[in-house]
Amino acid sequence: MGITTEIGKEDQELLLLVKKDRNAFGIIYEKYFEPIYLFIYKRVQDEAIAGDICQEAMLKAMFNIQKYENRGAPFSAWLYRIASNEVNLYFRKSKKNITVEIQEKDVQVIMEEISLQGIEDPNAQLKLVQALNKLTAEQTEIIDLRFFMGYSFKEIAEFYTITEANAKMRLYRILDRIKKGWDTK
Amino acid sequence: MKEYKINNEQEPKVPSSETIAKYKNFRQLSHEYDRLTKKPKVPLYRDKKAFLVLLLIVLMAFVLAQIADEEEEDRENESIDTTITIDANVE
Repeated sequence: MGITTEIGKEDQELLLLVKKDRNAFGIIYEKYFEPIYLFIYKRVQDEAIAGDICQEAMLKAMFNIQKYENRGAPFSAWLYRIASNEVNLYFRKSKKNITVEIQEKDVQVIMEEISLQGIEDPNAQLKLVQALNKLTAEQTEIIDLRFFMGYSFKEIAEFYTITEANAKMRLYRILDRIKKGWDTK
Repeated sequence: MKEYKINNEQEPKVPSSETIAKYKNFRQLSHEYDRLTKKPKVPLYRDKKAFLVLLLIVLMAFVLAQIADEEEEDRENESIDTTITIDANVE
């Protein structure tokens, strides 16, 4: 799954090395390219686009590695955040609609989470998808992480460098908005 | 813009490690980093210091050439004067 939950001592040593010699970034690149690529792919569902975004994210990481500060979250969380920001930017910049396929069971989990009626009803599922489509790229990010990528709240908290309680609050605020819109229709 | 669509028919595909490796290219990343970070080479005429040094060299060369010319002219004049004096003595 997603980010590692421990602060890798190995990563910290690697960071010190990269700060002295930028060519050492190649070790970080080798270690994280595949997991970051898969993370991006799950969100954009296109191999070539995921490849481009992954290169762009790695380039940004290489540029900003000198500014990286260890705030307790794993180093990989920092990389995933950069990658996710790049994905959001891609969605925002894209002029045509990019279709992201989701599984029916995942939609049902969201419906269950906010106690919506008609979990099995295709029309109700479609209505929820339409509500999700109205959200911004930043709002759907946490939905993607939780429901379509299977992140735990602990992993989401590490991803945003916030507490687990805050991660829950951030997600449920968006779900509440969907529920309110559902009830008024 | 992103748009969700329910897919009931197939399980989501996951690219293989071989597929992912196709997109992995650290050399290209490193080259891109260098391209973006290295300062573009300033042409000599736009570099103030280099331009001044160049100007000074040209000026010095010009002054030296002038001095050399004058010395040569003086030498030529001197030899003409001597020839005239010798000729006068012969007559």
